[in-house]
Amino acid sequence: MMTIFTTIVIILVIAAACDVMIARLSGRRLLGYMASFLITLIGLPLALASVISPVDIYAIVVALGIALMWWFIYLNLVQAVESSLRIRMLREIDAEGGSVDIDKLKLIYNDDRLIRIRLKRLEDGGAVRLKDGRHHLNSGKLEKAAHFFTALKRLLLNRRSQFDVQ
Amino acid sequence: MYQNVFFLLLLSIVIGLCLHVFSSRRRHGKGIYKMAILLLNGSLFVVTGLFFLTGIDLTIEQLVIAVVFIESFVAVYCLILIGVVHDSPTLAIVKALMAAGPKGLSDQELDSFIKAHPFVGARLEALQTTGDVVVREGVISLTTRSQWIVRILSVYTRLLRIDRERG
Repeated sequence: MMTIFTTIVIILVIAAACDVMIARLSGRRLLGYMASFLITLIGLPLALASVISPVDIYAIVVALGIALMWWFIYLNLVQAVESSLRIRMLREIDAEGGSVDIDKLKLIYNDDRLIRIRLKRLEDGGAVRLKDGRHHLNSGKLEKAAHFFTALKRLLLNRRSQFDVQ
Repeated sequence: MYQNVFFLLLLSIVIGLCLHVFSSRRRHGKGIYKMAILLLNGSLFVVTGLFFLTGIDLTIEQLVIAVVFIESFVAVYCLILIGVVHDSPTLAIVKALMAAGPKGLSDQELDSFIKAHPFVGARLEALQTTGDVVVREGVISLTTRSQWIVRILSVYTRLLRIDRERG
C-alpha cells in the first residue's frame, strides 16, 4: 500500500513541477496542463508496473484512478486561482487594503462589464463571430460543454439555469 | 489481489451516484454537497458490509485504498457539482447564443440576458454565506480566513509569474 501511495505522490509532484516550470518558461497554461496530465496518465502505470511484483492490473487501475482524481483536484485549484470570479473579487478587495466601498467594487465587477469582457474574449478566440451587429456562436466544443453541463443540471436539479425561477 | 477492491468501488460509486441523483431531484438541490458526501460514503459502507457477509475477502490495506479512492471521488464529484449548481458566465453566454440560433444575438437581447443573469450579486452573496467577506455600512471587507487564502494564492501566482486580471 505504501508503495502505491509513494509512487502516486512522486508522479504527481513531478507532474505539478512540470506544469509550474512550463508556466514560468513559456506562459502557456494549456501546455502545462496537458504535460502534467500525460505524465500522470502514462508515468504512473509505468512506474507501478516496475515496482509492484507480481503486476496486478486492478491495483494499477485503482491507483491510476486515485492519481487522476488528485490531478483533477490540482487542476481545479490552479484554474480557480487563475480565473474564478470569486477569487478575483477577493484579490481586488485585498489590493485595496482588505476593505473597499461596495460601489467602487461594483464599478469593476458588474454584470454588464463581466459579460462583455467574456464575450470579447470569445470573439478574440474565434468562438463567437460578430456579423451585421449580431453575435453568433462558432464553436462546437463550447456547444458540447454547454450541453453537458445543462444535461447534468437538468438531471440533478431539474432546471436549466441557476437563475431559473422555481 | 485488488480485483475485489475494484468491484467494491465500482458498485459503491454506481449506487451512491444513483441515490444522489434521486435525492437531489427530490430535494431540488438542497444540501446537494452534504448528500453527496453522505450517500457515497454510506454506499461504500453498505457494500463493504455486503462483501463481508457474502464471504468476499478484503484486507485492511485494501479497505484503506478503497476509502482514499471514495474520498477522492467525493472531492472530484463536489468540484463538478460546483460547476453544475453555479452557472459559469462564459457557458451562460454560450447557452444564450445557442438559444438565439442562426439569427444570432442582438445587443438589445444581450442587455436582456445580462439583466436576467446577476452573476456578480450571486457570487458576492456566496462569499458572504461562506464567511469570506463581510459587508458593513456599504463597505466590503475580507475576513481573517480569506486574507490567508489571498496570501497563499499570491505566492502561487508569483511562482507562475501570472499577472492579476480584473473583471
